[in-house]
Amino acid sequence: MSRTSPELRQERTDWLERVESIATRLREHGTESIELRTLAPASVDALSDIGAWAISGPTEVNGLLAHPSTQAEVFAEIARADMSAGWCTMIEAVTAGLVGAHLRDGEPLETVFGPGFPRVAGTANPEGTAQPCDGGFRINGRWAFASGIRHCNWVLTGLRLLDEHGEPQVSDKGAPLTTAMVLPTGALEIEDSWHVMGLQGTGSSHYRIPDGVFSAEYEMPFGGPNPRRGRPWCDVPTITFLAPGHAGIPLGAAAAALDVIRDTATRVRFGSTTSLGTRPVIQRDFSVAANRLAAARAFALQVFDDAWDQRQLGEPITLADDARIRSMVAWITDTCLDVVRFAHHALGGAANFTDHPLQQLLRDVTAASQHIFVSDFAYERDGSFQLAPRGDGS
Amino acid sequence: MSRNTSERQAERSDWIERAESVGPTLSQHADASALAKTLAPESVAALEDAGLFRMASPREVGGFDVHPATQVEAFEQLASADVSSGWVAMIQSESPALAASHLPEGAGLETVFGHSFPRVAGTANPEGVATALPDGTFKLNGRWSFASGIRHCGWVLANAIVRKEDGSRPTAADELPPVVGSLVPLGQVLIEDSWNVMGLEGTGSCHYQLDDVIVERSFMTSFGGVHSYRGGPWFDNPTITFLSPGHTGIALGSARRALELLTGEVGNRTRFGQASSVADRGAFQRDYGEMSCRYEAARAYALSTLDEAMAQREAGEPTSLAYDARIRAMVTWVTDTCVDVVRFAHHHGGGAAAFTDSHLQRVLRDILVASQHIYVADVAYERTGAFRLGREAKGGF
Repeated sequence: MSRTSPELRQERTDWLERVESIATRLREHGTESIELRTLAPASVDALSDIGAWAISGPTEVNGLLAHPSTQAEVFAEIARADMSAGWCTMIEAVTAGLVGAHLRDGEPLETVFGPGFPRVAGTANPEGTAQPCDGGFRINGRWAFASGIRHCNWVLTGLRLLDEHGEPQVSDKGAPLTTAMVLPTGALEIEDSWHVMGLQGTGSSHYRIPDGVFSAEYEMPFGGPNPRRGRPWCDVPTITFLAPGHAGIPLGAAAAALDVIRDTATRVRFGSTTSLGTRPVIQRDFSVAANRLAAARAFALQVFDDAWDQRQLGEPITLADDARIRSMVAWITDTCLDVVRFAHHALGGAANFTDHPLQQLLRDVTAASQHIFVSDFAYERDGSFQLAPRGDGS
Repeated sequence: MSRNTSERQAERSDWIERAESVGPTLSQHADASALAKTLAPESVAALEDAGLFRMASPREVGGFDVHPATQVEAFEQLASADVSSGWVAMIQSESPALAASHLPEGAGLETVFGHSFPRVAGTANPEGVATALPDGTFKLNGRWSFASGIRHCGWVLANAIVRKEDGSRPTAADELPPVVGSLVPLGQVLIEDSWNVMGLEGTGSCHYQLDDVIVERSFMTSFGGVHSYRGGPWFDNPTITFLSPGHTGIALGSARRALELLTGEVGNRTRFGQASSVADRGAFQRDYGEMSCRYEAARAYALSTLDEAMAQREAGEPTSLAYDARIRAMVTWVTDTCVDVVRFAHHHGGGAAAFTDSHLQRVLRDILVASQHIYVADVAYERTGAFRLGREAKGGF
């Protein structure tokens, strides 16, 4: 039923046209981003021009919150043009969405969203600590994987709560209590640590805060069911909220890889008498790969359509639903990784060289698939809900 | 010589020890090799001093003509220390072996092998042209790719298609071979700085060019074939079978290294949001168990296939293209299996394995590039499939 309404169909068309309008610019600056190890300014500008950072943001803060299927398609198309650009867009869009939904009213909201829709980096892993003190929280720590942080104004930072004595605060069950804060990137020490095998253009550097004090007004939960804005989508479990992003990236990578094979199907390898595209074996495998991609895409869109409809009808996304959505994203990531590997392998030695798009796509989708969101824990958690429900989903 | 003779056992222990002894040097210089885009001098010297470049060559020229299954184990050992080093050892033991077995007696053989054992790079693909001149020499022109180790070699074995002076193909009446191999001293070779790649960076597998280089007949070999002048029974194989231990060992060594990395630091990590370490997870233990079986199955398959092939040569049984295709398909299957093992290992390295100083990502990139080699392309399956179905296999390589 989803996205059959004229409004949602139009929303989809408009967004895909906007992406199409900047795709060439993104492609042209892909290599520059890799060399800079952070997204090229021209790519950042292009994404700003079409409002891409706002696609997951609540309308109350001038966000352009789109249907999650549309979000996934937009992230996919950006990634198809340039994987690092797609990655930065999805991280920053969903993070800004969380901040827009949960940040306190008043001065914090004015400061972050007043001057125009912000660019927000995010690190969910609570690698640092927050200790209550005069004036707010004393923050210490070092965080990894802050994609896009060099061109962001703010970062949403995961934190473990300490008490006044510096001891970890724990729940009744003994689990560490965590929270998150929105911090200005000017207050961070960004490390030159992003030396990686793939997604080099995302600039997902480490950053650290050695002993800073920040106003408690900028504390917010890292997502969750009680947002101040953005209902009825920003109140889904955090993983579900982030899912269109992680789903879009591999779909874009697989589509781009098949594009390359189509474009180079005339290549003849050493010892072969026929070109790649005329070998029945390659034709067969190409078709299988294209079907896999189409199935992955259809699966993702169906799941997001269902989740959206559930919320429209006022039904919650349960933790079991959340686990299933995450396992879907892990599955389509694994599937798309296989598609990209097929494409890379089919092309042979030529695809080894660093100026070849297929080795870059393979690096990028491999790096993307290392993200904790799509690790195989996702299957385990979903399987545990399906086979041995525990109720709490911990 | 069956696998269980004491002579064979002694040979095996000797070569595994040689390969083990250089492992620390190869590991230590792996980063430097990757950065330099060619094997570090320390690693080259270690391989040479341990006699590894001589492993596959005929005894007549100072080689050791080691049993193919033992070669696999030696290459595996080297690759598990540093895949690029294993790769260079493979190319630089096979290339002189092909040269030494296929060069006729004469000035060429004397010049190349008459002094210390040479360092020879080689490229199988006949990408250049050898023009037959009236005085019996050939003029070489062209550009070749993937010349592993060329920067530290003294010679390159370059294959080229033969043309007459007017550019036409030779006819039967010309009595010229369609393709020849030529040993060219490195001084006459223009090496390009082209080895900018996603993996096996340390192999320095650059492009090179030859520009009107004159080669005398005695420096030329036939391309492949079973007409070897020197060497033991293993040299009676078609070229593809002859080359099979190298690619097999590289794949096995990569997989072994990846599995070893999982038993240490990587497995002991607890990832974000998880209650237990990677190695304590039941799901991981299951997959680790399965992947270990795959690696061991691939290894057993490779060693038994090559034992059998060697036994056939020793018994003087004839070779066939069907058998050659089967050997190549085995190597391809071993490689594909090992790629899966390494991918599994890398995946469980999580975010930490994204960084360029992670050993797991290095092994992954290396084996992915190794798996792009034409030897282990899926054409190998197609060819053996055609033979097994009673059809003619198409194509040459």
